[in-house]
Amino acid sequence: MTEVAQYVINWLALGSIYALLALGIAIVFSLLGLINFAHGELVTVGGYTMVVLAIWDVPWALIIPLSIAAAAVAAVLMERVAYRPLRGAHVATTLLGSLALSVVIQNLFLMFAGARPEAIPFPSWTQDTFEVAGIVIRTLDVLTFATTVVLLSAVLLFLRRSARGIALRAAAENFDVTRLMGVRANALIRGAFALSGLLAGVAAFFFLATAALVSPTTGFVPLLKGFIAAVIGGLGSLSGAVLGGFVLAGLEVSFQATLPEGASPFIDAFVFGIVIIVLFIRPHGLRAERSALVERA
Amino acid sequence: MPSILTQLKRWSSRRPPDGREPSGDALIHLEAITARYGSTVAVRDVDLTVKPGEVVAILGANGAGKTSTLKAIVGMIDVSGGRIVYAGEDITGLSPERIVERGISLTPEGREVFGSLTTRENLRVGAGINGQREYPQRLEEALTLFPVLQDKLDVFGGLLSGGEQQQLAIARSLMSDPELLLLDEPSLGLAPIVVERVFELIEQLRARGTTLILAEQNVERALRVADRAYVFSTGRVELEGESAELRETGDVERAFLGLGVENGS
Repeated sequence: MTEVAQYVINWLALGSIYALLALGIAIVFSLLGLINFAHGELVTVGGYTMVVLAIWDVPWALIIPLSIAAAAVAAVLMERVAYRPLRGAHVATTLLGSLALSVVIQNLFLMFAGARPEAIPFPSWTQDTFEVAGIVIRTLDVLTFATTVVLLSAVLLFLRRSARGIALRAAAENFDVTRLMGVRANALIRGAFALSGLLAGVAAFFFLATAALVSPTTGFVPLLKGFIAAVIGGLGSLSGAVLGGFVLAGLEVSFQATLPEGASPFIDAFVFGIVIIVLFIRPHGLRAERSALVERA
Repeated sequence: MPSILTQLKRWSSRRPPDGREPSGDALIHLEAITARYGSTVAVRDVDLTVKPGEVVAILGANGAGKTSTLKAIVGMIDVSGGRIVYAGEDITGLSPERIVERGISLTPEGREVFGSLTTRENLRVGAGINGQREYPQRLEEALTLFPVLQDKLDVFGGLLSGGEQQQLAIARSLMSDPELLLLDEPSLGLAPIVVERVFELIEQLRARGTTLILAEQNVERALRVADRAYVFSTGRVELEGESAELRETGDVERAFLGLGVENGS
C-alpha cells in the first residue's frame, strides 16, 4: 500500500513536469502550427542561468524567478530571430528551421560553457523528505505538483477571462480573422512564446533539481517528453497536452513499478510502444477537436 | 509580402501626415488598385469611391473579385498597384491590425465566427485588446441591435444556427465601432427569412450612419438597400451607377456575365 502511494506521488510529480513542458509546446503549436524543437533548449537556458547566478552568490529566492524569466526571454528571442523570418514558409521549412535552431543553441552552449556537465548547487531543501503514515515524501515532489496546479489554474484563468487570453484562443482557431479584430499578430505570437518559455522555465527548476546537472544537451529529454505528451493529448489541444503529460508519466511510473529489474533500460521502449498503440487507435491524440496539421497544410 | 521596391514606391508616394489627401468628400477611395494572390491577379485597375454614410454594393458572380477587393482594403492581400486612401490617409500596405484601428471592419465571407469561443467571447475579441474599456457599453449596444444573441451569450459560436452566426459575425465587427463596415456576402447560405433579417439589419446600420460596402450575389436585394453599386467581372469594374438607375436598365445582368455594357453610366 505504501509502495502504491509512493508511485502515485512519483507519478504526480513527473506528470506535472511533463504537463508544463507539453503545454508550452502546445501553446505555440496551436497558434502557429509550428513544433518548436528548440523548446528543450529553454530548459537548458534555465539551467545555465541557475549556474551563473549561483556563481555570483545570488540567493535562490532570486535565482528561481530570474531563471524562469531567462527562459521566457529566450523563447521570445527565438521567435524574433528564428521563427519570424520563417512565418508563412512551408511546413517543412519551419520544421527544419526549428531543428536547426535547437542544434545552433546546443552548439553555442558547447562553445561558451563546454561539453562537461555543470553542477547546479540547488538549495539543500530540494532534497528534504518527510514521512506521512509510513510514506516517505520528497518536499520537492509536493512543491512540483502544487506549483503546477497553481500555474495551470492561472493559465486557464488567463485564457478564459482576460482579453489577451481570449484573443489567443481565437487566434489558435483562426489567426487571420483575429487580426481583423485589430488584435496585433506580432504581440500575440510574442505573448505565446513568452508564456511557453515561462512554463519551460518553471519545468526546468523541477526537472533539473533531481540530477542537479546541466549540459548543452540537457534539453533533449524534456523536449522529447513534452513533445510526446503533447502528441498523446492531440497537438492542437491545450487541455490535451496537460492530460498527455500525466498519461505519459503514468505509463513510465507503472512500467517502473511492474517491469522486472533487468528490463528497466527498456522502459522508454515499452512506453513508446504504448504511445504508438494509442496513436494507432486515435491518430489525432486523446483530445484533438480538430486536425490542426491538416487545417494549416 | 510586398517586395522592398514596392514598399519604397509606396513610402515615396505617401503624402506627409499634415497634407491631407485631395480625395474630396470620399471616406474611402480605391485608386486603380491591382491585387493578387501570389502571382494570380485577383483584381485589376479597380477604382471605387465611397462617401460617408453611403451604402455601396459590389456585385458580381463567383470569382469576379468582390472578396479580393474587400480583402485588399483591409490589408489581407497584397496590393501591387494603385493605392487606397481612407479618411485622407494612404493606407495601402498597412497590416490588417492597423487598418482596423483606423476604423474599418470586415465581416468575412462564410461568417468565420470562432466556434470554440462563446458568443460573449467572440464579441469580446471583436472589441480588440485596446477596446476593452468600451467593451461593456458596446456589448449592450450590440445586444440591442441583435436581440437574438442575448440568450446565446454563453453558447459556443460553433453551435449557433447559420443566421445567428451571421448576426454574431456582424455584431463582432461592430464591436470595434467602425466608421466603415465591409460585409462580404452576408446573405450567402442563409434561409430566405434570415436573409430578410440580415438586410433589415443593414437598413438599421445605415440609419445609424455607418458607411457600408456590401459584396453580394443577391443583386435584386442588394440594389434595394444600396445607394450605388459597382458590378465586377473577372477582376474589373464592368459597370457602376446609382442603384435606382441600375435596377431600371438591364445592364447589371449583362455586366454580371461579363458581356460588356453598351450604355453604362
